[in-house]
Amino acid sequence: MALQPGTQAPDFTLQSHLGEVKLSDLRGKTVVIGFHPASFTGG
Amino acid sequence: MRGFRANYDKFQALNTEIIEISCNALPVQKAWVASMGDDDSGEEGQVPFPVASDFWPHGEVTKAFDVFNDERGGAKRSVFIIDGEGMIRWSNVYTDSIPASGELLHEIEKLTP
Repeated sequence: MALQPGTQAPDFTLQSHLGEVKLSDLRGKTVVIGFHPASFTGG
Repeated sequence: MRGFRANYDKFQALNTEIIEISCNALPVQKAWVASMGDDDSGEEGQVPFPVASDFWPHGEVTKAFDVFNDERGGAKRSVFIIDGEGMIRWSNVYTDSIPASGELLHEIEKLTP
């Protein structure tokens, strides 16, 4: 069961093709997080 | 993913950032992003938002959001909308479709005072 609305999002720091990304650095903005199963699978 | 890129300016207009995450290793992510420029969509190849790797510890962030697929070892296709306070305001797991930017933009508009 995915985390539901009303839950505080877990903070994270990950490496991306644009460098490090940290969720809590984006406070004040709306953030859309899209998880996808594997690359090269469309979508 | 391609839909997010095509509509990125609309997300930005709503003060919204996008983060894509999968459990692929970072070099695979980079290759995938690079391949976006090779398709025939006619769009620019560069993906303007971060495509992040949740590879090691494997799927740690994906598991924290509870969308890890234990059988396949990767993320379930899913989207979370998080407000400026870090609160999840909307989420969906996609089993037989892909996220539609129009629907997400509509949900974000509803959050905006």
